[in-house]
Amino acid sequence: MANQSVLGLYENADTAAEGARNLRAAGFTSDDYEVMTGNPYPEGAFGEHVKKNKLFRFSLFGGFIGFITAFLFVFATQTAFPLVTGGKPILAIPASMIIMYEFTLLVAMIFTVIGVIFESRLPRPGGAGPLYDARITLGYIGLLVTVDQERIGNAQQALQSGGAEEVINEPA
Amino acid sequence: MTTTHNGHEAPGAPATQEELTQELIHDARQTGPRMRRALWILALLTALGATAAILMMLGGLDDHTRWKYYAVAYFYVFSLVMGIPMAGIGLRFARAQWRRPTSRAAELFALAGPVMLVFFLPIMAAHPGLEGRNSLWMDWRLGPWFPDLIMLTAFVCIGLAFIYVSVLPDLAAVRDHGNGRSRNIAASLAYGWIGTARQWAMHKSALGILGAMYISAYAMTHTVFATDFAMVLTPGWKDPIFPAFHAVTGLQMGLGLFIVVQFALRKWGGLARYFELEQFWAYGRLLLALTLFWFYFFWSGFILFWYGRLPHEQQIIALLAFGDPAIDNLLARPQLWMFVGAIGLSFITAFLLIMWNPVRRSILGPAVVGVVIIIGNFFDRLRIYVNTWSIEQVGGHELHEIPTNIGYPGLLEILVFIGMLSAVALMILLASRVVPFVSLWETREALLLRVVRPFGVGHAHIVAKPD
Repeated sequence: MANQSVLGLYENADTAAEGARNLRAAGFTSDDYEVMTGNPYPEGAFGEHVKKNKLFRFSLFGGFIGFITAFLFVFATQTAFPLVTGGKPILAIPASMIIMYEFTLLVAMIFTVIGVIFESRLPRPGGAGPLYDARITLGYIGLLVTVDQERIGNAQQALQSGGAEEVINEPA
Repeated sequence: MTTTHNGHEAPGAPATQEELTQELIHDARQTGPRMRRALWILALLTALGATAAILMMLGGLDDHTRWKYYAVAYFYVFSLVMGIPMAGIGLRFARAQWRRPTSRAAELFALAGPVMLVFFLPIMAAHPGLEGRNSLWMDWRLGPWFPDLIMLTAFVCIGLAFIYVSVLPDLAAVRDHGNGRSRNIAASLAYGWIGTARQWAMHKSALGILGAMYISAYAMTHTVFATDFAMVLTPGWKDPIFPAFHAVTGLQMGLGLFIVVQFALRKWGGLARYFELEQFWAYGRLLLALTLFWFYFFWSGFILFWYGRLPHEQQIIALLAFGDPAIDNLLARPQLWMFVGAIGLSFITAFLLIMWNPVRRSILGPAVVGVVIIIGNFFDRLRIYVNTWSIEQVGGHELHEIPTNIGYPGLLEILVFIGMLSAVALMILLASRVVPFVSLWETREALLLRVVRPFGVGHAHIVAKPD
């Protein structure tokens, strides 16, 4: 059965927390709903489950790629133009550290940005989406429930009884 | 207005999140005739500066001594603006709650990066190269151009990535409540941000990672620039402390400018309720610490040369501080006067002012000291770059002659200097037409975490720390 979404809009954190409590009492799990806010709240403030993000893996991987690229680059240029300077080896690591550091930073940054986009599930096709409400950036809190059509009525009821100022259904 | 227990004015009546959003987005949308005129003037000055740089390039790149005032202008503006985002990044790491309304204004200076990248190209092309000189790059044929360009590109891109991630939630707010062109720009840049818990967690991690990268890139860019564009050109100058001095003085002058910018935003930008005594007082303390660091790093480098007294070390002291000792008339030693201007304003005057608590604990005091520091550090970059870029000698273990061909900047150099500053201001003002100077999401978060409660005969702020 196809999934359907419903959005409950709450004026403040207390009523939103109440709405989330109602959802859980009605048998919905924290994977069934998302909390949307205009500013960060402490993690789990609404009982939601936030998966540990893996952004650091992108940065580490990017840094590794950058480091290896730089190493190969300096290795290639130093062996292509072998000049002994001050009796040091042709492939002198201390002299190559800065360029390796630069590449490491540059590629790590690129991968971090890719990671932010990927892990934030951006860009969203169609912008913010039909069930996004602009009042969220005025301080309202949205509880977006996405479940199969059979349970959508229960979700609406739970959101409403939790003190939602408005419950918005996904347009057909 | 409420009064805190120690007698200071508390912020105006706490706004609701809705009021705050409307006020800041409304302010950000204001582009009155005065602002429009300012933008056009800045655009014109930027174009003149870029034209002057091109004309200088057409005039020839063979003689690097022709570029000495360009070098002064470039490295002064670079040092002045590129350290400012550190005020936002570092204080966020330190979880300083008071910095919240000021973070955005600091971070917006990362937008100066592309300007610095463009104006770097001529000075990079004018670099005389490493042949016969001691450098970081041994005899690598691509040095210093390639690694310096990569370093600056990385630094600039990290800054842009950081500011983009930082403003993402505010772009969504402008998309939702703005109008006109700024709304359209914000909508396309907001990328469908809806503020899910997952997105906020990602946002927090990304700001931490990119912030750490910015700090790393800041230090390394100053290191390679100070080495390749000053020390390398000076036979006999080997000083591991100088790059650190360059980076720290960049932070000091950046903070000085940032305090002046906050003063201007408070006075003329209608943001007095966000840039308050609390912020000026706290930044004043940081300015005191950085002013002490100015002297500490200068002294640490200077004392080695002073006590070493080897001929090449005495020449470096003459070049950067006291001038040619063979010239009896002190007035005829330009190096001496540059040094007096640098230490006199960047350290002595600044320290004698900011050391007093009543000066720090005011809005005008730190701003005045900021101006003094900005001027003082101009003399500092003048003494470093005009002297080193005047040296014609290549190679050798000792500088043979203290340059006397210092001269004065010409019209083109002055236009380049004004053009660079204008371009930076233009970038920031254009960005402020889309996102507000005060971070909406951070200030809204502060509203949630901060309450004013009666305390004794006055009121006190209670700030929650969520993590």
